[in-house]
Amino acid sequence: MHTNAIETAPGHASSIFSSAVRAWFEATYPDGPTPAQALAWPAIAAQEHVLLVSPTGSGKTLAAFLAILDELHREAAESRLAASLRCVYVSPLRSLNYDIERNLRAPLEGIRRQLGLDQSPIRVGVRTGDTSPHERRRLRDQPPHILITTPESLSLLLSQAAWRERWRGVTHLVIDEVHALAPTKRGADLSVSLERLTEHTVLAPRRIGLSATCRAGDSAALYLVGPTRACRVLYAPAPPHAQAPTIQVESLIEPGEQGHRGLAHRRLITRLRQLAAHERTTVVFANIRAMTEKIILDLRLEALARGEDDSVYAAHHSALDRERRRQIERALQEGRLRIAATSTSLELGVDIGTIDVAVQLGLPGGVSRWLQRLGRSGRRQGAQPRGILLTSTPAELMGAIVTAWAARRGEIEPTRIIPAPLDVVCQQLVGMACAGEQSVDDAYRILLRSGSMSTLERRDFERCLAFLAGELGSPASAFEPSQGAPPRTTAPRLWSRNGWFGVRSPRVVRWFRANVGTIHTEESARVFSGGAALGSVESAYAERLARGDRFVLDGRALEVVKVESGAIHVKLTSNEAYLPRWTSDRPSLTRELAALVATFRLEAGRILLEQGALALELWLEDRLSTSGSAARLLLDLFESQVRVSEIPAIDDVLVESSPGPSDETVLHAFHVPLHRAACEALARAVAARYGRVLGRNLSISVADLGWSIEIPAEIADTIPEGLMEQALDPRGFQTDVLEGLDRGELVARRFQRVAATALMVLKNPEPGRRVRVGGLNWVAARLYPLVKATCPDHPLIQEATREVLEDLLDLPTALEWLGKRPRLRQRRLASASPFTLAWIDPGRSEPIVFESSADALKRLQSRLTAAARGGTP
Amino acid sequence: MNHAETDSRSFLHHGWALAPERAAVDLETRTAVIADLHLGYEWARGSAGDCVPRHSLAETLDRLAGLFARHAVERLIIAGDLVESTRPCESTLLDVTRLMRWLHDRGIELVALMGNHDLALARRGVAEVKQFAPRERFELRGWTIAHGHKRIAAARLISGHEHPVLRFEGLTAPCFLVADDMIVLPAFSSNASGRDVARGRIPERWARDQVRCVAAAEDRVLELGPLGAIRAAHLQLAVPVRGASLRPRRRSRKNP
Repeated sequence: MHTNAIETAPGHASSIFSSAVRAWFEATYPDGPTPAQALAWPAIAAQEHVLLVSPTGSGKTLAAFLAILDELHREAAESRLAASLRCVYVSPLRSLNYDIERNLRAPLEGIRRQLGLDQSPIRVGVRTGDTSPHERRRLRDQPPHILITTPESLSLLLSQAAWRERWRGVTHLVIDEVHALAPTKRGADLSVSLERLTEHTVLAPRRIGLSATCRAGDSAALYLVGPTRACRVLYAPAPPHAQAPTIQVESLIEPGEQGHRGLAHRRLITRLRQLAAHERTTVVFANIRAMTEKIILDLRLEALARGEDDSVYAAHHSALDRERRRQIERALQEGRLRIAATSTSLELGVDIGTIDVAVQLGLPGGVSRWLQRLGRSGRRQGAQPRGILLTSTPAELMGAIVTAWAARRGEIEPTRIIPAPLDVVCQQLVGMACAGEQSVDDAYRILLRSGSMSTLERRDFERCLAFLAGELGSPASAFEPSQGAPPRTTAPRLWSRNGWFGVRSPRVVRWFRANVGTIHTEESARVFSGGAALGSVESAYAERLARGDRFVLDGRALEVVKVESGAIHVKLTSNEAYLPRWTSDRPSLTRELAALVATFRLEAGRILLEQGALALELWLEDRLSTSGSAARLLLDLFESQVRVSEIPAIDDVLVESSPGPSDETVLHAFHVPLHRAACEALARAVAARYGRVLGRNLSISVADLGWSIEIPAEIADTIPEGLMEQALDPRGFQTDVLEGLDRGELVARRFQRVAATALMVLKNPEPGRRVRVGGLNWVAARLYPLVKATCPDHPLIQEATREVLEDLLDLPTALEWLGKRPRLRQRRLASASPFTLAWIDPGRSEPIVFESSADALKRLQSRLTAAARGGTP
Repeated sequence: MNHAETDSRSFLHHGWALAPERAAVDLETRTAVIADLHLGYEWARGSAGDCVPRHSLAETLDRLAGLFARHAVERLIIAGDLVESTRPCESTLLDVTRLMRWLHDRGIELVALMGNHDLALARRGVAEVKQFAPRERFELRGWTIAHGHKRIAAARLISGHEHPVLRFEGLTAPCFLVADDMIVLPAFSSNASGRDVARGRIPERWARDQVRCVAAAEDRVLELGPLGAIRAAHLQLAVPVRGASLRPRRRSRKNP
């Protein structure tokens, strides 16, 4: 065995490799390295921190690993390779880990053969939540050279004292899907774990980040290496044989058919059957789980009715049992499925074989996300990625046209890192303490070095520590007992004194291990059919189920045979079944796309008014590559909007008043050129200002491009002149946003997640001790106000508020736009305008409470009394 | 007269003043009845692993102090579920002891009735003050008072256990359900989530025409009339439920 000196043939990237590695590569890839590989190898070999940005299917895995494999093989050849951990690979997807292992096995096996060895000198291990206890022990006692893991498992390993020495020799950290991790709390958690791992190493390991397309100068690089290191960002062009994606936009409804959702759904099924007949495999992104279920159920029923094979359709989402999902992934890889419908779970990573078309129902929300989904198709060599946006309303159609337009131009959104989330700080502090006593100063220093935590204030850090040490409990009550003061909080996690902290008891370690991670899932009940786990439904839904009830899961209609605590037993039924409810965030447009839609809307309106309908139709067809009937559908929408109102301008705010959906309310619909997060901020401030003047409960409904407020009809006449102008005054805006938030439910609902991530309230409590009296909503309804009252500057209240103000509400964008003093245009309409119905869709509203409960109940009382006297309630 | 207002804040039902502090007070015998205190709720959460602020004893005492300030009370009947945990810890026992001492200091006699959460507490006892021996039922002026988790033969029954509440426009108001032969008490503890009387499934006894709903709102109670009428009206009053509805919503365009 021998190693060659590095060849320096310029321009040939594989020249950096030892002969066996090179020989394997050249034999396997006669076309030579992809651009991504050619860029990455020298930089990685030169020991730089690298962020490799390249489209999917450009050989990223080898780009990251081959240089590392080469280094390890060289050391092995010189008998310098110790049996210790050298490289940690982290991916956000558990199933992806197995793919990576498979993808590594081929080169390792090939290189072994080139070297003529019986066994590869390099060992690879996988550690995820699915790893068996036996395998976990084996990994700990005989660590592999390359460890493949997830952010959660890495955090668990770091919390174990037994692993501390294992990290010493690590030289490389490979982080996959950086673009997906960076803007999330999960990513923030990982960025701290990376620093903690680095702290245990002898030589600071090199970081290699892999990312789908992201913009130049993006914060993804800062996320990867933190503020103290330099990172080389490599933008790899698509491989030469790759083709640009094609994107089609289709409307499921024809002009004149607006509002017929049943019709749109029937057409959707027909269109999907067409795709199934012509394409080998289609993946349908349905955004929400319930829709995924509905599509697959209907496709299957249709197939059965026609005597066709129904097993070629499958649903894939995170409420399905893990094993069931694995089966579906395998079926996809082996080409046994025609259509797989997914909420978001097939969006990332996991190798799903050869997909011909990616179909998006409605809108993907952003350009990056659409390109990511689209990139799941056409991965065969030489094939072209193909995507279809299927829309069922004119507003969706408009959004889809704009999304496609921006996607063709590659206008992807910038990555936004969540700045120093305090709930993640809390979880990481507990994790650190689980591994052993920790110095407070060191902990702070480690946190500051991570890309996500570089802005963490010392004061906030210390308050997190104080909370975990049980020092932020209730203040002394009026009835404080004199002797033996009880603890201020239950079950404190840490002790903290003299600049050190550690866990209070071994129970804390157990709780940490059972609750690690930042992924929020609603409490759920598992669903079993004939003893086999199918998946789960949320507890809030399961609570209402009784024997004989029917619902849909795994694309099948099921009937409840038995309800136990935490488990629902079902059998298949052929009767009609309902869709379970799953809590999910409604997808919304990105800031950039919303602004684009507003601009296009305005431009379309201008053309319609100045040049007429035909010109608009042509413009839609030409400029936006829209088909004829889709253009006519939009033309209809614009013409009817212009007939009763007007097209909202960019520097105007158009407010349309009309009777509300229930006739007991008056609706004020505000049209602005902003995305939902900015509209959330505006809507809350405006609601707060309305509520202060009117003194009654209101409800708001927020969407992309506008919001609506419902006002009780009986007080509509008392609305003072000028209320709308006042409501849009930028002065005191932030205070009023906060008031609007206080009177709604948004922060309390977010607090629920924050409390879970910070390990304040455990998702998986001590077995057999779950407290049920408070109900599923206890944390939002009781704990949130309690903590807020006893400790207003509690770090978790601060985090929930920050998350709402910065992540859910886009206050800066809202303020910037208000600062331009948009002109107010008011219109009174006989009914909600076409644009209001199309975009704002009032009715799915959140109550904003201004009355005391006594006043509201008095109103209820008088209403009931009136009803008893014969009026309508 | 069966129903009358005592002061502007309470509601009188067969001699029982229903108070906004979630108590029924017999003015004649100066006896207050409350149920479902779930003391030690936070400690139970703590033993499950939650790290939450101490609060239930202070809230209980605050609410009782409010009640006693308006009604002269000499005897307090706790109609079951004094504690939350079926495995009460030391902190819970201390809270119970403190409550007992606090009542004792004010010269108020305590009568505890057995609730389904209290079994272990009764076995274990609260050593410091006296043997804690809750009874199954208590008779007063022809009314039987019991927790309500077991069937009990009684002509007129005052019970707890069900935690009735009225949900309305994002608000949750604890409520009493009353008829000539029953008073169902709301949970005294704010930690109990409650059974929604307007929309949830209800026991047969509540579905009778004569059952009326009296809601506690901050510092007053409000008589809202027959529960049946509330349930019938709830469709019009209901706030739309958030979340994706996939039943097609037909909406014809009203504009030309």
